[in-house]
Amino acid sequence: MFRWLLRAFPRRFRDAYGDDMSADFSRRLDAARSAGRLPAIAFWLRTGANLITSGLAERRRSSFIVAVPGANAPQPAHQLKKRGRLMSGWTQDLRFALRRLRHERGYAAFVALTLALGIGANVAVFSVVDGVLWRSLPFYQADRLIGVWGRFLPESGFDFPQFVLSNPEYFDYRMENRTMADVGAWLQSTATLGGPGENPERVEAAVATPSLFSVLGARPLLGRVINETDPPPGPSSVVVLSHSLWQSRFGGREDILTQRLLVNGTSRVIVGVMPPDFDFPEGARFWVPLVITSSVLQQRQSHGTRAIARLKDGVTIEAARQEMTVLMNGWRERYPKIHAGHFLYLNPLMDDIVGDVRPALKVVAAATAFLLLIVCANVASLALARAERRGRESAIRAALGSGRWRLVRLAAVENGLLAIVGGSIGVVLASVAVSWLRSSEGIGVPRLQTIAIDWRVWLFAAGASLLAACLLGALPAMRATAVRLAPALRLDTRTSTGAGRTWLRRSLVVVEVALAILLVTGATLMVRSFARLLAVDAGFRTEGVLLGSVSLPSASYQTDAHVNAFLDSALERLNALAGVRRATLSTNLPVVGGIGVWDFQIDGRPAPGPGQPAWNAAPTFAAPGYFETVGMTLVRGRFFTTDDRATSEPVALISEAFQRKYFPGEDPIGRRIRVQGNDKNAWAQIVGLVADVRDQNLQTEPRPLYFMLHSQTPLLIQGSMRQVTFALRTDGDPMALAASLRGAIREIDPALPVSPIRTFDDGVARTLAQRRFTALILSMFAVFGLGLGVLGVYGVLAYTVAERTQEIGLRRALGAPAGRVLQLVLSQGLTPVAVGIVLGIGATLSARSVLETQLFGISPTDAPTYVMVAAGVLVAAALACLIPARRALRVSPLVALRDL
Amino acid sequence: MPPHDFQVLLALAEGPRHAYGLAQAGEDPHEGTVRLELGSLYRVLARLTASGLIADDARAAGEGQEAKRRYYRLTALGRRVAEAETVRLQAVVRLAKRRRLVPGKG
Repeated sequence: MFRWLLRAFPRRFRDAYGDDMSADFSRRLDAARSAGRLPAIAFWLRTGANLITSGLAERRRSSFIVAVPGANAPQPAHQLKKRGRLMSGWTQDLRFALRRLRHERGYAAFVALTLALGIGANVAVFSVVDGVLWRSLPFYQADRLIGVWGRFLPESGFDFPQFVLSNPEYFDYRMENRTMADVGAWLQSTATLGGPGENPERVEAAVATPSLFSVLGARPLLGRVINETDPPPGPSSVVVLSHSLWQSRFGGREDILTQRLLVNGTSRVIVGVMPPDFDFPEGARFWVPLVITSSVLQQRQSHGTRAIARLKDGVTIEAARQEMTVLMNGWRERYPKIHAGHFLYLNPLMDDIVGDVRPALKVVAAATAFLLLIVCANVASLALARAERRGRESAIRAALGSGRWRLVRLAAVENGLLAIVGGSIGVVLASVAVSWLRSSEGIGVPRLQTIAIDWRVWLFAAGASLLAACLLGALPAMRATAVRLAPALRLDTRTSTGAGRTWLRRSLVVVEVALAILLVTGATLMVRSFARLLAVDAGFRTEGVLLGSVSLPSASYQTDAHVNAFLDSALERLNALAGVRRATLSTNLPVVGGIGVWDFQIDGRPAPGPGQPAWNAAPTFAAPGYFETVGMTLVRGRFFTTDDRATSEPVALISEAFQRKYFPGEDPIGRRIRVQGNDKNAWAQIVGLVADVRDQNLQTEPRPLYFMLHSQTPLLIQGSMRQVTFALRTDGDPMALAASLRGAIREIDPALPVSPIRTFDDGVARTLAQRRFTALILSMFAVFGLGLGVLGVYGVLAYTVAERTQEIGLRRALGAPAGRVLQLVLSQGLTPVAVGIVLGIGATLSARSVLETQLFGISPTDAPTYVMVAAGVLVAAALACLIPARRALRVSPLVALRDL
Repeated sequence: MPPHDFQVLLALAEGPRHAYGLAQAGEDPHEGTVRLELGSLYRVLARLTASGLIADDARAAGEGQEAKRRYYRLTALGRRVAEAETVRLQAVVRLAKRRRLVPGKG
């Protein structure tokens, strides 16, 4: 360490005083150590800083001294004009640097492009991190917005760490808290707009309380927002439009207030339009009032409401959390059955929105930074080699009176130019990448629209370029100042300091290889994890299935009979479509979505009492053909058949996880279950057992599921049972059926839009998009980083071999076998690689906890991956070494000796 | 003359010393109050040597481990320069006293 610091001094100074300085240093250090740890650290810092500053000062001084041996007081040359000399000739330098770079176009282009890729990747990732994680949400004082959530601990009978609220819970919290300025609530839903002939469309919407708008600090563009006096659904009910809906459906006309719009078959008065930047909840196209009536306040266990609160000025989230604890104690006393193991908690809104992607983005950001380091190491290594090639040129300049500062400055101008060019190309690449990211929905990252190349990103790009320029210029600059005239000027190609000169470049290789190992191991783990995720047996098949969803408005489909008549005729038409092998429908489809977890009862078994775990599982209400269409596997019994109708004996199927949990060691076939909550619900006999299905997402273990016939189940909860998805299995391209699906439904009900229409494949792929994206980005970085690392290995070894040509020739002439020479060269090339591999593995292992958050089904310390990557890197490096090694073997002793 | 340079001359007036001894002298409250960091000290030594105020002292080299150390002594020129600086400083102190700049005394 100390020896390294000494390098700040010019060589001549080191030669004269270096030994004494080291001896002094250790004595001083001992003295400082004996005084304690802190004084020792202080000593290190003080001395280190002093060594660097005085070393550099000494270099400056000695570069101005015209050394006159024996003179008593050497005068700094041109001391009076020093300042002028330091600053003059920049334009000359610039011209000169341009000329030099033009002569070495290959070098300049390679350096600029490598830098461009490194800087570009960093700029793009920075703009994503900045836009998604750092930029505040587009609301007034957005950092004071807090999401209100429910949590069910296992003792409540459920196990949901994060769950929506019931309306009474929202209502009570809003009334009882003293730390929030206000609390707003909403339900997200999908609704059908317009009637027959009115261009019906199915859009995302929100049922919102008036307080939601005041909590968010949102003001309408036209008219007003929802207010407290708005009536429940009826003839005078109201709707507030989003800017996009206003534009697309009403052409932005200003006279739309007081006009009416058909929402789910009910006519509503348009009372306001929101501004374009108001997008809450994300994707909502209109808002209707959430009216909390006294009957709603009885349904404390019906959860479906999201809530958001704004902290009062000067109140911290900790204070609000403490108050929440007190409130929850009160609730537990008032509702011991409901609030045992079930309570509300607070989470900053920003965390709600980006909490899931934060770890992934962190991994990507770290990988990008490492990539830039590899780029800089590689380019610095190239610049070093170039500086050494030009050692004689520099020496001639120095001999002709060029100051060392001037030489350093020339190099700095060159590096600066390369960094500026590289950085600019990088920003261009980044803006291309960013515009691609913004337009791609399928990467599973929220807030992508916030990403922009703005002044912050420019500032970052400038900083990254500057850093790159410094990193790539620092080492050659140190070299340049250490040029010794005499040996460099001799026409002698032998150098006495060959080994010493390559140590810097060898350490750069160590750095490059270590970082490449880190990147490649990380990427390999991600890719293997993703492959395992795709290979997991999820219990269903997605290929060849087209999905299309409808919402059945309660206005036009009032009763079960209406709904069943529509669904029956829809299925009939769909099954008759050309190209459709089987058509079915369901409330749920694995992974792409469905309704939550509902309680049920088992016939002949007393329901669990208070304090006991409730019986609940995720229900699916489907039509016959569902299991075949989705590709589920029957374990025992039978699927639904077309003989199972609304009027026949109710039947149900359960999954294996359901059986394990509720009928362990029993035969469930023939037992009866029913959905809890309404005694009109019929008991359904279990007729079949299906293999487990990962219905939430591919990485989550299967949970208990039960399946009932849609036609045999009353419309239990309006929203859930009215959201129906048709699924068509085909042998051809599923999307080719989209138009006929839309047409078939329009023939039955022209007011019923089918949206979204997508393939099952696509729906599942979307849930994997973020992982796919992370794995892809990391792989790209890893390939690029590895390539640069290998190039670095090659460069250093090629240089060494070129330098040792004569030595090798001499060895060959004296009878050294080819194998010996090869061994010599390879060991020289591969030693830094081996060190780099070891360091890289260490670095990866120390990052395992970060990696673990992104992995599925593979350990972050998975030994085969490490072995594979290390071996791969070693082989790649060995191949890179072989080229110079072969050149070494071809060295003719005659030629080598002639030049001696 | 910079205080560091003068302090080195002052310490060497007593007799030849090696660099570490000079540093210790710098820490000694009786001998000086200006702390000399490692790098700065050697720069001072190099500068003073180059300008002929101090020189390596071969005779003072010690035994064994100490033998490797370079000892420094004041040259005749160095002694004259130090004396001149002292005279100058005396004049400075007198002037300071007259302007009532000496702490602790009226």
